[in-house]
Amino acid sequence: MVLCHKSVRPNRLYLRIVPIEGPLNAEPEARMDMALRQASQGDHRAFAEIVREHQGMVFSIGWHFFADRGLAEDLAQEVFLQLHQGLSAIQSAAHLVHWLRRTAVHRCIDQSRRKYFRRESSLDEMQEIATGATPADSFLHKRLRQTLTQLPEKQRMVVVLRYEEELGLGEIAELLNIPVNTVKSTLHRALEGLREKLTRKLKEARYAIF
Amino acid sequence: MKTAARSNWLIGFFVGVLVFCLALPTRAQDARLKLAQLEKLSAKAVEVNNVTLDGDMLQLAAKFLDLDKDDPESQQVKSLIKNLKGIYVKSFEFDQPNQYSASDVEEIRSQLAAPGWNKIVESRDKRANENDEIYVMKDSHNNVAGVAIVVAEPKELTVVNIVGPVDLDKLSALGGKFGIPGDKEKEHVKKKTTREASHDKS
Amino acid sequence: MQFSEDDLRAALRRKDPGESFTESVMARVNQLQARVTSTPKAGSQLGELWHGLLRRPALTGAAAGMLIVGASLGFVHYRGVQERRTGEVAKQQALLALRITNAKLNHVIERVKTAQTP
Repeated sequence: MVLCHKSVRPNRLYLRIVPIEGPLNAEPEARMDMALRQASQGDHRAFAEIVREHQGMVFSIGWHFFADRGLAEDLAQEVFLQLHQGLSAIQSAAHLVHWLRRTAVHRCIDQSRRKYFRRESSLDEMQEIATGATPADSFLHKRLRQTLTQLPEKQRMVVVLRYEEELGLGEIAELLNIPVNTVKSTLHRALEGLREKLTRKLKEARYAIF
Repeated sequence: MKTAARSNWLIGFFVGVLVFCLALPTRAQDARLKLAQLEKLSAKAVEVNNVTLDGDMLQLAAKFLDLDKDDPESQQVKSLIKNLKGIYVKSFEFDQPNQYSASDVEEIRSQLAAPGWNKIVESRDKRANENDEIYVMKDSHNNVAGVAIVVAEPKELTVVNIVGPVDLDKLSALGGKFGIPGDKEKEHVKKKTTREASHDKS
Repeated sequence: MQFSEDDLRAALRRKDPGESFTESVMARVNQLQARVTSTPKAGSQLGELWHGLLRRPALTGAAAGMLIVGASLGFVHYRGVQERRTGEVAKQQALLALRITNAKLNHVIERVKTAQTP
């Protein structure tokens, strides 16, 4: 396995700020705190703002985990409906992010454990991922996403949390309720598995060409 | 022809049995007087005692009197009421004389004039305008089936009606409890009454 | 095949499901709220209770049994109290009736005796 380690990770938080007009045009966290307060008092616009702000995170966890857009959308909708029912329990913007991520992760795992979703990823699901790809996507990136869906659920989720959500090992351990060392070993096995499966697929592709 | 005569005889027999069966409870109910017309006197009376105890209530009362096993009077009362079918009392005391009419008393007397009732005691005092009577109804076996006591005084009218076999001696001998005078008390009352009577004569 | 962590980050970058997703969520929220508003609160609570009971048949059976036993004991106790009260009233009425009867009977007898006394 060859991995190119980079010490500096891009901070996505700042890339995701979308300036909005009116009184909600404030710092993201303060804006979310205010939206939370308003939403818990029954303000639908504020709740829509919360959904808009976090739908990318919730949807992407499901999308990368299942490689199924429809399933990911359903799951994300359920998470937000659950949030709407328990809004009063959310204390801050940071708590909100933590809650949404944790709920999405556990719903993904619960869902995948049901018999129906244990099947291997089909060609249609690969196509689904391809549909969601941007023109900037390289061949490697598409292959990585396809191969990820073939990993066991725990390895898949660790990779998603580590590289999509950019969480530390401790944070992943806390989210999945497992020891940090288990996260480390799971991540190691996941990356090895990805490399092996990618290499095998490449060889199969070469044989197919020649 | 013979068959028709036999069937007529059978019909007659069954009708007779039916009439006899219907007559039995009616006879027992005969001792019950209609006292409802006296209710109107309640408005004028200063003290009213109104007791209506039918069979079921009497049995219940007997059951509860039986609980006071250590109390001889309760046991006496229980033995008196256990076979009764009903006790009905209407007693009115007035602060002025002539608050009830002669027709009120006559209404009761007319019922007691019916066959079966026998007046066994009558005490009339025209000067004092007092009239007390005791009636008894007896069944075919010469047993007491009902008792009626009418006490009509200027300031008091009391009618007691007991339905069922009652022992008047036992009833009269009840004493001690709840202000019912016992033999000693009765002697005292007798002496007092005699003294008052002699005092009046003098 | 070689890939770096940045390749994984790029491959697994977040995807926004779009404004239609937000609208779908809000539509479902509105739908849910409309249902809650149209159903009386007490009714929904009763419904939840009913569904909860259906989910736990053993518990429901035990609760129903206890309720029946409790109600029966309560009824028996109530009947006992009522009967005691009625019995006590009947007893007092019987004693009053006999007291009056005894008094009047003896009153008449006394008067007759007095009248017969020379």
